[in-house]
Amino acid sequence: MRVLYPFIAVLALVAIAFLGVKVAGLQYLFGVVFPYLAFAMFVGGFIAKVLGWAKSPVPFRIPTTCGQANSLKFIEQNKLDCPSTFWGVTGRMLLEVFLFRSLFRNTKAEIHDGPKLVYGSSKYLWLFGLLFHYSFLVIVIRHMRLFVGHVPGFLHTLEAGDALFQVGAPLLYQSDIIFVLAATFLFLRRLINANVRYISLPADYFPLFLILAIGITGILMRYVLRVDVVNIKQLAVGLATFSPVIHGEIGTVFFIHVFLVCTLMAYFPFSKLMHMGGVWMSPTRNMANNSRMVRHINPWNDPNIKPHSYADYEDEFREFMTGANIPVEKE
Amino acid sequence: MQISDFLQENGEIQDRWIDRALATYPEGGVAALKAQKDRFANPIGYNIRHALTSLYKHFCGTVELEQALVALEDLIRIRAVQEFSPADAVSFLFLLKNAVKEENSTKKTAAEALGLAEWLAFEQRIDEIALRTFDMYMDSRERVFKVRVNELRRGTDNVVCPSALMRREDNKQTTVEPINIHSSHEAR
Amino acid sequence: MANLKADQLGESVVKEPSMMTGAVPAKDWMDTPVKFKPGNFCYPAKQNIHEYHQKSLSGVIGGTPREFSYEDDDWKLPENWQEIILNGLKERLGKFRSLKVFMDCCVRCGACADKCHFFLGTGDPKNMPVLRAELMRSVYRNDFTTAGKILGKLAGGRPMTVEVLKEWFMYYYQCTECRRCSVFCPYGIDTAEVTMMGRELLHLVGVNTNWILEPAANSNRTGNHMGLQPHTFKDNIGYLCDDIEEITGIRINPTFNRKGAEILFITPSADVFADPGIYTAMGYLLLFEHLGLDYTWSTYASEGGNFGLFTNNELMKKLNAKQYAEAKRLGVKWILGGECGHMWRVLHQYMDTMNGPADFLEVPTSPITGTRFDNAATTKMIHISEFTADLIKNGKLKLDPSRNDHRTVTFHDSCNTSRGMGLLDEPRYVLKNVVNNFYEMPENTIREQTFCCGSGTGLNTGEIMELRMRAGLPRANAVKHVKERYNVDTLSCVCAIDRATLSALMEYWNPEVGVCGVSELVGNALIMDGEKERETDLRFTPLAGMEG
Repeated sequence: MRVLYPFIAVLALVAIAFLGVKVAGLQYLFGVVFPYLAFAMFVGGFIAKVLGWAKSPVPFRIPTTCGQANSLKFIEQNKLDCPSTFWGVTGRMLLEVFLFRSLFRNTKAEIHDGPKLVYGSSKYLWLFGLLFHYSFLVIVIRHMRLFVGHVPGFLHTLEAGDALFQVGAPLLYQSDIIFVLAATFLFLRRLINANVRYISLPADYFPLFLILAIGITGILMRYVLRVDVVNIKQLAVGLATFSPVIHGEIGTVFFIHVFLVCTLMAYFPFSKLMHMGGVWMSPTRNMANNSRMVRHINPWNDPNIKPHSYADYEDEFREFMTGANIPVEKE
Repeated sequence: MQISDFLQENGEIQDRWIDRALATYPEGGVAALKAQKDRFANPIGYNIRHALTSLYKHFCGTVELEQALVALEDLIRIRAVQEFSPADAVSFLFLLKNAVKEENSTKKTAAEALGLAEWLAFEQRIDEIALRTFDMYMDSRERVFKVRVNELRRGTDNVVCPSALMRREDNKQTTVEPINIHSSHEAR
Repeated sequence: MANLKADQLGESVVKEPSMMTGAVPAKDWMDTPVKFKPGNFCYPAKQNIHEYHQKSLSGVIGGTPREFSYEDDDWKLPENWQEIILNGLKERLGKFRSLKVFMDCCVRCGACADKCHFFLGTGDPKNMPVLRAELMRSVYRNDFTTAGKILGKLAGGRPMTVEVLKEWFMYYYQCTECRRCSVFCPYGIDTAEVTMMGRELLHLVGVNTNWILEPAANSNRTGNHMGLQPHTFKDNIGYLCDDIEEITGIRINPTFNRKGAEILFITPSADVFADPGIYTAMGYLLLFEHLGLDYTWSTYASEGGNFGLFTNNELMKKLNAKQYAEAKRLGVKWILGGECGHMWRVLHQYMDTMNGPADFLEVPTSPITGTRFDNAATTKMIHISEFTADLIKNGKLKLDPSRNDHRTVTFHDSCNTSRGMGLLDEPRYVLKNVVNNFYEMPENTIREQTFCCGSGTGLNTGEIMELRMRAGLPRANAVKHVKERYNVDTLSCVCAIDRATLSALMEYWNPEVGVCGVSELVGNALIMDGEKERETDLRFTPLAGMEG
């Protein structure tokens, strides 16, 4: 059920787009209205979510220290895993966000059980996670060429790099292949690893299916069911310049692709995909371990919480204290 | 056929046995116990594997009984503090009987299969080890209780340190009963 | 079941894993209710203890003080308990960004799953950190997110029911807030934060444990968690001094509540009365005497540990506040803290924020070496390992490490000092200078990847001994390895809870291994002026070469 429902939901989305465009002829709705709406939801929702997080204060400085702290001069600090300065934290965050430092930490494989070489499965998780995210990023950036009239140089470089092997016509992008493979790995891992299957929710499968479907429709469009790129570009530039027009026949698969992307954008801020924003906000990672050096302020610290006072303590135990020659304030 | 030859020839029995013993842990947890083979990252999985492999090798004739029992004891020590009933805690031994029996029933010719006498002898050896295992189990349980008693005695639950306690005997000064002696919850 | 033949039993086991474990086959964790049975839960607070706390913290120690058992179906919760929990959760989402972010951004990648000692020791899927957090996340989604409100279970939500509450109690008290999972989480999600919030919420409706609230009450009233009154506290240290005199021939007369001392020394009170912490305390006493340090003990702030950390932030603040209050009253310059794990989590990450600024104190400066501890510039409290390491580096201690030659030592990093402070190499530096035989445990079980003793956060109570043994298995297993490989017989640590709980853990898993504090080994090695020849260590065990 956890796998099936999300799968059906994605199929339904495809069907809606197909019927909407092919049967009902709602090209404008799917090509213009939904993209604007979804983009607005994405940007608005993302900002709202991040602001929502930011609204809650960080009452205590609670970094998880993953190495030696700043201490005595002769003890070497691990400045990246246990940073005590702004630059250290920056380094830690960059490692975390761009290289998935914490997942990588997990890779140590030791062999004790028989003479077999065993790799921790999480090494694959790190690798495929990284591949997935980076190929996704490359693909998103590549798509930018559709939205600008004049394609800037760095996009050409990126595209050339992505089609390094110069196979196929049109040229085959590695990122497409890696993207689909990595997403498939993440899906199969969820399905096959009983542990992860047990903890997975429909909300974990849905985005995977959705993203896979987007990838597949995109690949279909590029390599199999050819669509009219000129018209697509015209629409995309039109969208970017707030003067959208749909000229001629584009091909239904394009609208399916766009609709799935719209769904992803609209769904994004309400889902676990917000880890994209959350990773920056995590107090265990983005704070310096300098709690004893710089006082951290808790905005809701309650000054009315007082200790059991010494005076009350002495009143209760004065007799015993004087008996034991412990100094007292009042004889 | 001798039991040692039978087990050596049908090595898959060992894997089946280990899988079934692992299956005695809650669903969802099993995958991790199986997958993570690092001895330190996964002590339960390691110890099950290690003990069962040793025993299996013992029946194959390549490991001495005493050596196998050491590994077995490590495993029993673990199972004695897990949520198993005493019978369930040692039941994994009998799973080997099943695995052998099943394998044996698939054999077509007498040359491939275990003879009755061999089977009976094998059964008896398992039963004997099972009895030893029960001793180990009880020993572990007793140890748990000893640990509890000693923890009380060490003073985690007491008010004065041991040396103070000794001295108090010959140095009876004004002792005031502490409020909230931190031990009465034991009585619950 | 009893009349089944053994091999039938074996078969039934294969087909029905549930019968082996007492757990219903886990089709879906949300549909698997918890079962309370002797040995898997802590007892609730006694009525008078519950009442005591309500006098000062009625807002956050809720529920009706009552007699009941967690095995009962009816926990006698307040009528509107559900409303209290949901409002409490809402309030905390607004107060703690950590909670809010952690509720939203988990992708359930499973990297944390096999990092938890409770999971490794029990095999119970709800002890995977991700599921532990999902216990609360599911409620959060149901009541605080748009998707959950509309889609309910399909969005992974579930309503707050009594069964959920019971589950919370079960699993938020099978977490020692050790933060090991947070080291491996790609988003730094810290289950300790979730567990803390879970426990705060449970306390709102009167679901608590006696082992935490009684020591907290004692700490509040008498200054230390055992309820030792001032004269008893002083007497106990006096007895330790008697032992020191017998062993070394040196008489030490420490002072108590002395105004005008330069340094206030605070350590967990277990060091003063519980075996083997007392030997660590003897180490402190010898060290300070060796230096001629101008310091004082306090009977009012005689507890370094803080059981409030295991309850809620309000109680934590209240108990902790004594330390600055006493430093101010006595007019000391700075505070020196003894060996303790969670005490240092509070001191390092919370104290200054909660009870500072300590502007009446000075930046800690070692009167012996002149080293200024700028890493404690505002909190003005330093760790004994930092203090001792600096002394050794500057050659201020006369040491004879061969006096520890009868020991082969390894070091256990405490969760809180390693992952909540980054104190890793200071104690190692000290150890390497006071013992000759030192061996590390395997790499993935020490430093920031250290395994918990399994009984932290107020779980070191006798009624859950089996659970503690299970949870401590990963740690014990690593100790066993160095025991077999290097004949290690001493597990040293810088934590009072460890000293108590590892002793029990070793007694079960590795009976030949003893537990000690680092300062105990320092005490053994220190060559005191005018001492007699030592024949035994601080435990009256003969030194190497003195056995005859």
